Amino acid sequence: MARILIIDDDEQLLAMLRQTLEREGYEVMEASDGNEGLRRYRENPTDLIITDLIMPEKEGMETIMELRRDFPDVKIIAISGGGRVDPWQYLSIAKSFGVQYTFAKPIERKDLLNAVRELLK
Amino acid sequence: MPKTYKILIVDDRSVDRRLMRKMLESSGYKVQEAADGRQAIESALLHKADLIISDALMPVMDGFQFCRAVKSDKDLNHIPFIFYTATYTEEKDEELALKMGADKFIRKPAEPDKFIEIIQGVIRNMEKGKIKPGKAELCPEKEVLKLYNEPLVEKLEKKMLGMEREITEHKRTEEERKKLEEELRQSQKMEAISRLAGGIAHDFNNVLYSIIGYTELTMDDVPEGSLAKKNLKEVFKAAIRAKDMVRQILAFSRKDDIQKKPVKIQPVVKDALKLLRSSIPATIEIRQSIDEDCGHVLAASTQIHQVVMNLATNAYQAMQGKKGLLELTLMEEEIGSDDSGPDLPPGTYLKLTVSDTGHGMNSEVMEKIFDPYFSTKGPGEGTGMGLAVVHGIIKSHGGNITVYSKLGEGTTFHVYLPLIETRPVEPKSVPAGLTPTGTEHILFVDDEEPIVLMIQKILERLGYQVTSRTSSVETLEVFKAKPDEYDLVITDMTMPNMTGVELAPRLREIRSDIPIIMCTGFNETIDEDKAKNMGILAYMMKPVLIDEIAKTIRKVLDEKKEE
Repeated sequence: MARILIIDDDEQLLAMLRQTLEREGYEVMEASDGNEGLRRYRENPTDLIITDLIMPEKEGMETIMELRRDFPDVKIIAISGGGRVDPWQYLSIAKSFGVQYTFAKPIERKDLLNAVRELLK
Repeated sequence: MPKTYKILIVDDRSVDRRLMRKMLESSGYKVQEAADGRQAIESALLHKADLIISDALMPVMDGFQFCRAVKSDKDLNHIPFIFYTATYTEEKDEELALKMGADKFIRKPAEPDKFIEIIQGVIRNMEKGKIKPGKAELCPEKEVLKLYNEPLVEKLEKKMLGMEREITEHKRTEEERKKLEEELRQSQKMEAISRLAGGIAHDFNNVLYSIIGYTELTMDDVPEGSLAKKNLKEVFKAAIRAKDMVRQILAFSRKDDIQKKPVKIQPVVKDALKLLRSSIPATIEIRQSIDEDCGHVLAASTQIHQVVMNLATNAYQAMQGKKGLLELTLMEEEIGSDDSGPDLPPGTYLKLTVSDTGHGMNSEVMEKIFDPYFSTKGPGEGTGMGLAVVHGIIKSHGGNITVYSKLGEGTTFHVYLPLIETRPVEPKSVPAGLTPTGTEHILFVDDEEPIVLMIQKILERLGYQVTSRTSSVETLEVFKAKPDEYDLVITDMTMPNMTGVELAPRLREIRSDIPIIMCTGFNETIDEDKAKNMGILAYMMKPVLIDEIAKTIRKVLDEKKEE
């Protein structure tokens, strides 16, 4: 069974995403910032990472850069709610770092699940 | 000894009488006074006046009536009559006075010498017997009345016209003021909403995501057809509506960040229509007439795209459930100075028209459609932001939007955007999409470590050698130690201890030709001339896109090389 690591500082979202993915039969791991996410991935690499971009401690962009450097084949979906700046600006940076899919929050379930299925084929 | 002439002065203003008395007495005349025509007739008979000088405008009996009375009275009609007037000063007035039998017509104020000279002249004529009595009798009553009324009516008309003009002017300024107030109120409302939205967008999107996500999960768990399922679908619909609302507001609030460029909007409009065609049912025909020759406007394409989408979506929604025609035209239009329509300065405009054959609206609704949160759609169907955003965007582009509608017949929106003369900027030699690289040594400082790490990685990926610091004080030391080691310094603006603005001149003190790029945060600005003096050659607004970083650095370094 495919394993997915979710990195997001919003606990409610983490729990929601966990349920969403577990119902589809995926095994889910959680982290609440980039540092924790990197540690978990190093300990136990997953098949896919879904990461938020703006987070305390270590933020998403940096996490993505380190992941891509150390694990060039890692599959990543970046999600962002944006801020003062359009989420797509952040997401386009993420894309240029080699992220496979980007979504602006809030995301409809079918869109996210389609991307997950596509990457885990 | 010469005869002392008795002069009767008639004026309702005592000040004027006193003045005239002084002038006349100092020239050796005897003076009698009267305040109106009736008094004057009594006085003239009683004192046997030799000469009458009368004002025209007086109470009880005015100068013209008085003159006519004198000249029609066999005991008085030999007395020379002089008009001295400030109110009735036009040729017609003089003509009337002379017709009434007056011997002279003097306009106030006259110089004392001149005045006395005229009086003396009249007296000389009288002595020579040149003044004939009873001239007024030659003038029939009817004609006198006509002559008398004409200037009066004219004066009244003039006064009325003046007042009318004043009233219209007043009304117009009042209307303009109201309109300005209305516009100000609307823009303030939009600004407040967008500022708020900008600040909370990130958290708000997370909250919405939780709502949408959990709702979707729970919908799986309740049986199809149940009330719970139905209610959850409503929650979901509401959340999607809130999501659209945030997007709309944010799109507007970011208008300042969005760079306007000279663009042709034809492809933008076509793109939007293509997108719409796929989501609008086939019962609605979309007809387009786009003039390919329309010139350029200074605009942000994404915002124009949104304007077209919002207007067309509105048009489609007005025709929902029925057959209909959505028509979109794009053409140039000349607006003259007397055009009352779009309320824009004269010039050539791009005119985008979006019309539908939907339900239309009444004038009450029409007045409110650009108000934020105003919606005619049912709950869950509209955000009430669409047209407010369109209005905001068009105004920020120096254009205007007008609406025409008739209940049951449809609605037409006209969007006007000012055309610009300049041709679009030719693409640079570096093709878009190709990120320029380099090998120079860059010193980078920002007090936030994640940013330093990120930028360092970006710059290294671009091939540059990078030395980075999180303190401006340290950066200064590093630079001081080996000033010739670096080709470029990139500094953040807001940092503790020493800001970028303070750091830049210190660096230039050490090496006057070191190029500096400043990164500014959202909404931070700096005086451009001051910046140039400090050696700051370019800015980047955070968060900076890689492509932008790469291009800005290359540009600054290449310009430096050319020097």
